[in-house]
Amino acid sequence: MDGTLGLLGGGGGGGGGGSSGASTNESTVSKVEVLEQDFVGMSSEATSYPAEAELELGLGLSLDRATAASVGPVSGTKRAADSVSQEGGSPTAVSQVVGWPPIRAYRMNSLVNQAKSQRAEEDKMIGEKDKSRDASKKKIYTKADLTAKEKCHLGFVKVNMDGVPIGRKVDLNAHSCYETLAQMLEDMFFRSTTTVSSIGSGGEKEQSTKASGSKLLDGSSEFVLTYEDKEGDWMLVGDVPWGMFLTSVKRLRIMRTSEANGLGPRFQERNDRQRSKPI
Amino acid sequence: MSEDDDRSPPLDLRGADIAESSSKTRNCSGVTGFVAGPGPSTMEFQAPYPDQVLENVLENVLQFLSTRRDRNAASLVCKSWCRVEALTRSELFIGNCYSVSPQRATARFARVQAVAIKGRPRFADFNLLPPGWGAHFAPWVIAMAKAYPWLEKVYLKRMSVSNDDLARLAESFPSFKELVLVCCEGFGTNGLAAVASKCRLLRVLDLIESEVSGGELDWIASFPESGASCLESLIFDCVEWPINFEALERLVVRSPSLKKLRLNRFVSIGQLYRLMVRAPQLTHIGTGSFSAPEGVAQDDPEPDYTAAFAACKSYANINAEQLKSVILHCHKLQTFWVLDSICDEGLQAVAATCKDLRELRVFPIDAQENTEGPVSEVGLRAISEGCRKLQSILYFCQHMTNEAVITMSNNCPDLEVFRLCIMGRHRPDHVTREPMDEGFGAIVRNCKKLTRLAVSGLLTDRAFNYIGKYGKLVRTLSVAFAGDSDMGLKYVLEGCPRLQKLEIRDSPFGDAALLSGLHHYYNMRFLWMSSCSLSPQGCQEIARALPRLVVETIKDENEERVDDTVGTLYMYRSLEGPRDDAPGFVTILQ
Repeated sequence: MDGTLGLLGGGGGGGGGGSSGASTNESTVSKVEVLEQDFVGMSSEATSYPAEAELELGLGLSLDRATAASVGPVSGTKRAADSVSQEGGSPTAVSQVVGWPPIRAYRMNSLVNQAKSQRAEEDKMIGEKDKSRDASKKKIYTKADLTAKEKCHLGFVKVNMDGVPIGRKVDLNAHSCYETLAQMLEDMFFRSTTTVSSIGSGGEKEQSTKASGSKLLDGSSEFVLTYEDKEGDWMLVGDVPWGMFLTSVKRLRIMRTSEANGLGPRFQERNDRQRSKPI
Repeated sequence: MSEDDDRSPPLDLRGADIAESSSKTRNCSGVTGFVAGPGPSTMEFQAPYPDQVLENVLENVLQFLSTRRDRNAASLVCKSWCRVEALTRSELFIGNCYSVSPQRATARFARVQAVAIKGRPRFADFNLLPPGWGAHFAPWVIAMAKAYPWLEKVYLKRMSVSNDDLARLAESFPSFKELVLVCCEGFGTNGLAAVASKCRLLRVLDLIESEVSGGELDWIASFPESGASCLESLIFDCVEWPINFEALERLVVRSPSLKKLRLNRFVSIGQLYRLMVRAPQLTHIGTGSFSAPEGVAQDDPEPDYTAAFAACKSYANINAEQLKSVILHCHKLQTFWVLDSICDEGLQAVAATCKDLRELRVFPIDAQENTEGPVSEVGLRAISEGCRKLQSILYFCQHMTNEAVITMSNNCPDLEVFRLCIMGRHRPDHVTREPMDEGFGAIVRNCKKLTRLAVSGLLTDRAFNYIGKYGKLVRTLSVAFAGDSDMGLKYVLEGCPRLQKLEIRDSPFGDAALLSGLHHYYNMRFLWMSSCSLSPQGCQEIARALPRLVVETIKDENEERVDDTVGTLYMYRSLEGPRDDAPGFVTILQ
């Protein structure tokens, strides 16, 4: 699977065409090359989450076929040639087309859910040990995850990176903590995945590299991960508990550290805190 | 029942008696149509024997007719045959739930044991239809509860089913044996609990790609705990809620007839293995929580299980290397659904081993319109060279060549279903830069058994000319982002006499093309056209010309239309006229 953004190839990256910067393709190309060199030392194992890469609008966002305003927040028109995202698509972005390619939302979700299942399975097994003693047939079995309604609000959020015209989307449902999310974003934006490993083994590998920490989170890279919350404020990712983050995040941005200074004193504190934090 | 295509249970409801006189007579091609009345009535007057004896004889003979087609033909012979056929039809197939009312269907067919009903149009699966369009199971289950207390089997596809409907089903049919819900929604685990607990003779409970909401009842534990169960098939991989594994294990152990088991992602591979060990009679296993398959192959020396895994319809993100170690055991593999992560190389491995392959589906992990993709014409060509018995293929790719498609058309003469989805819209042959006309032309020309076709890539009217000229058996055609002018659609409507289901999106076909099909629409189950160049006036004209057609135009609120063109046209023949449960965004033209 092609994990690159297709910048070099010039192909469209379907959906999520919003761009935070106004850079041209040319300068972007060189930046991508530079970044790849920076991260050469990182694990080259592709813990790819292909299912969380961008999906076509209307497929990824409407996780719940029955209830969603199915086209989702960034609704493209069905006219193929028209332009796109509400953030003002870049000229290189392919227009978002509802229902294309013709893959059922269910099938898309089943790919997504394979990643979730690794974590969910652990939760479930714990839950079941308690409940198996209950002899009555009609027992209450609460679902560990969110209700379907809440699920609708989560799922795919856009991710843009400074200097990259084409954005991606990630499924927050597939993660249970900041580390895995950051790891995935690093894979997505900073290196190309050449091999595709099974989710199972990928999950295990990802667990083992978890300890080494993510450069996006610890402030040691040129970029830092930020998000826009429901009030429209831009915050650093990682400050609040994961669950709270999930309910307030609207979209993500991989921001240049130099620009993130504008986020105020909190960043400085955090920077100092993170540097001394054991990995 | 296969999930996607049309090989559904035998019978179709056609040619019901119409109370008022119909101006539409039986179609001369003899396939379908609205029967204006009895056939040659002289037959009855000349009969020397009392009608009763004749009917008894007929009844005994007609019972042997099993296929839908044969029964429909028999029912058109004369009134007497129609009546007797209706009495002996035990499997009822409703291809479009709005084509006939439950009352009319149950009034005509009195002794039905198995019912299949299809609802929403297929493009609804791709979010082209706003939610709430219709296709409710409720009126059907209510009518059938009265008419068919002995009902045993229900198959629903793209219907809205509620928990109440399932509860009513569970309570109304004491002999109920099989429930299959494909792409349905509106119900939850509580409804399943009702079915599990009350249907004591349940053999089959298959939930396929349906949307199941949560509930407080533990449906797996709702199966009766004591005594052997009759379960033969339990499929619930689409249920997105955890299940009670211990209860499932107990259920499997006390189900000696259980052959097919497809679990959801909340069951781990380890748990699945436990089940397999305790239930060696299983032949089909699937899981939504799939890790590297070679792990299983190594642990379990039985090649049957390996083949079962490979054949199961679950989606594992595996690469070519992982696939190769498994696939080389699978000589008998006939049906294979896989993700394109296996790449062309993986497909070559399949082609080298699976000489008996009949059905192949290759889905994309990354459903975008990129320039590169893991599978291409290389994989298609390899499959065509290795799997000569191929009957059905669904292939997603980024680009393709005419040459590979032509090669497949020559190598696989048994192809009945050819669905190629080149994900890049309007994309030509990436080697010659020509449209994909010749490739699809070769398919319709060389594959003489072709009944279902889905086209993609850059296509001119010429491709449709080929389809109209050679696709004489085509029943289902899917078109997207293709064609140049009205001529394209005209070629198809004028050329394909067997066409029953036509779904088109984003193609430049307008009113003139639509009007060219007037002679044929009563022979079709439905026509779907979205984001084409139709005007309300053109659709209105059709509605006026064909009173037995329900012409719906659908407006999607999310869409902004700059001009007056119709967003979506969905029209279908019906004996009932405009339905009374249409939501606000549907306009029925008359």
